[in-house]
Amino acid sequence: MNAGCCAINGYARDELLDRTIFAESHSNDADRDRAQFSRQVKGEIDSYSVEKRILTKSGRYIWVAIASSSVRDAQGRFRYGVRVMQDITERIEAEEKLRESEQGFKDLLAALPAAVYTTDTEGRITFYNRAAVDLWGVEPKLGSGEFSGAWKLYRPDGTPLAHAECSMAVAIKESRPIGGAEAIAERPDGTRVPFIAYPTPLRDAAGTLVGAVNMLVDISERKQAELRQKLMVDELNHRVKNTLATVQSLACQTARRAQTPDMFRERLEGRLMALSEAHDQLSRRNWDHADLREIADSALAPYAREAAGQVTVSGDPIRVNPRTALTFAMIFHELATNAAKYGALSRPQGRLALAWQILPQEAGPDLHMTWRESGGPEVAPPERRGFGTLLVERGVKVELGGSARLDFPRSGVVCEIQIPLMAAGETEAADAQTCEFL
Amino acid sequence: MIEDEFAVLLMIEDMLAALGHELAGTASRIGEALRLVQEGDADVALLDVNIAGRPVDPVAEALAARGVPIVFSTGYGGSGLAGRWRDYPVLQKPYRIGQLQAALSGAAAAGVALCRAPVSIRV
Repeated sequence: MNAGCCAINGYARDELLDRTIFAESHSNDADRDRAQFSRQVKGEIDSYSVEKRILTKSGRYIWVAIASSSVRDAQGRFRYGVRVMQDITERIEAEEKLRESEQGFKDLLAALPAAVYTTDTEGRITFYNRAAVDLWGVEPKLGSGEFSGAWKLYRPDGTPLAHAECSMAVAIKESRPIGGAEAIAERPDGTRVPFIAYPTPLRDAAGTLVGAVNMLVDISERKQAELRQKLMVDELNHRVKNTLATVQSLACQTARRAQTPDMFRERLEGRLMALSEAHDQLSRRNWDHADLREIADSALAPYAREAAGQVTVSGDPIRVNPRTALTFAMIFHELATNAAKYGALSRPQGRLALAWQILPQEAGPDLHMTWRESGGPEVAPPERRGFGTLLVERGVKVELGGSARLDFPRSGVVCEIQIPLMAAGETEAADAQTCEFL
Repeated sequence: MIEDEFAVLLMIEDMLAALGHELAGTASRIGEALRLVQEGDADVALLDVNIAGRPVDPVAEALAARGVPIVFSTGYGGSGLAGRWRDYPVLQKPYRIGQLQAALSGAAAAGVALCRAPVSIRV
C-alpha cells in the first residue's frame, strides 16, 4: 500500500495492513468486488475493474475505481493481486448531478401542456409527454413509431400523410428545424385534431445529428373559430343579398303602382322602415325569434299615436321565428297604412281590433289572427290589387304555408290569417313556424 | 318557379311577364314543388336553392330525371353550387332581368341540345 492509497482513504498504512480489501466497502458494493476477486484468485479471470464506495477514516463515503490485476507464479497460479485505486467521487457526483438535471428536464417536459416528443435519427420515439398522448389519443411504444406517435396523419386538405413524410421526418432527413407545419392527427376513436408541429433536430456535443425534438400545438379551437367566422361571414353575405333582393322587389312593386315620384318615395320609405324595424327587433334577439306583440305594436305605432284609444291589440304572448316576424311586420304595415289613409284610422271614431289566439289542430297548433276595422268610412272593395292585398292573399301561403283572406264589408276591412305554428305535413320542418309559447 | 320569398316571387313573375314567358306554375314548399314537377309542362325550371330552410335538391333531382333544364337562384355568394349541381347555371340574388333572360334561354338551349344528342349518335 502506497502513500497515494492512504491519502485516498485517510488511514495510515499500519491501520490497514491487517484488514481485507473489502473491509471499508459500502455493503451494497462489497459483494460485487468480492465475487470478481474470488474469480481472479481462482484464475478464471486475469484482471477486473470495479467502481465502489469506501468509508474513509473521517467517516465519509467516497467513490473509488479499482483496477485489480493478477501476478502469477511460474505455474500460472495466482500469487497476489495488484490493485490500483483512484478517487472518482467528483466524477460520480457530477454524473449524478447530470442525471438529476436530465430528470428535471424530463419532468419539466412531461408536465408541459404542449405535446412534446423526441425521436432518434431513425424516427424511433425516445421520449414523449402526457400532452402528446392526449393529442394522439394513443400511447406509443418507446423505440417504435415512425417519426410520430399519431395513429394516422393527414394533410390540412384532408389527404393522407405518410408518417415518413411528416415534418418531423423532413426535419431529421434535412437536418433543419421546420416551423409551423400544419397537419391533422386521427385518433384510434376516429376523432381528428388539427395541429401545428415545430420539429427541431438535436445534435450531440460534436455536432452529430442524434435525433429531433418536436412540439405539437393543438389548433382545434382556432380552426373552429375560423370555421365559425367563415359561417358567419357566409350567413351575413346571404342575409345582405337576400335583403337586397327584397328591397329590389319592394322598389319594383312600389314603382308599378305609384302615380307620382312623391308617392313612390313615401310608400317605399314606409315599407323599408317597416322591414328595418322588424330587423331591429330580431337583432335584439340574435335573429332567433321576435315577440309578435312587439311586432304589432311597432307597426301600429305611427298610427296609434295619432289615434290614441282607437286601437286594441290582444292575444297570447307568442314568439315567432324571423320569417314569420318579417312577414307579419310587412302585413301590419300594409294594413295600417291602408287603414290610416282610407279606413278606420282615418277618422277619430274609427276602431281597429287586432287579436290572435292559438288554435289546437290535428297536425299541431295554428295561429289564428283577425284584423277588424270598424267605425271608419264606408268601405268599397279596391278596384285593383295593391302590393298589400297580394301580400295577404298570396304572401301568407308563400312565406308561412298558411291561409288568409281579406274582406271589404261596408263596416270596415277584415283580414283573417291562419298559419301552422309547428312543423307538420306540408310545412317544412327546418323552418317551420317554430314558436314558443311564453 | 320555386321561390319561398313572396316579394322576390312577385318580382320574378313581373320579370318573366315582361320577357314574354308564360309561367307554368309556382311553388313555395318542397312537397308542393314536387307535385308541380309531376304535372310537368315546363321548358325550364327556376329554383331557389333553399326552400323554407330545406335544400331544393329533391325537386332538382325530379326535374333532372325528367330532363327539364334547371336554373338555380341563391342569395349565397361564392363559386356556385356543390356536388351534382356544380355545373348548373346559378343566378346570384339580386339579379337583373337581362341576367334572368340569359340564364333561362341558355339553360333551355342546352337542354334542347342534350335531348338531340342521342339522335345524332344514332344517325
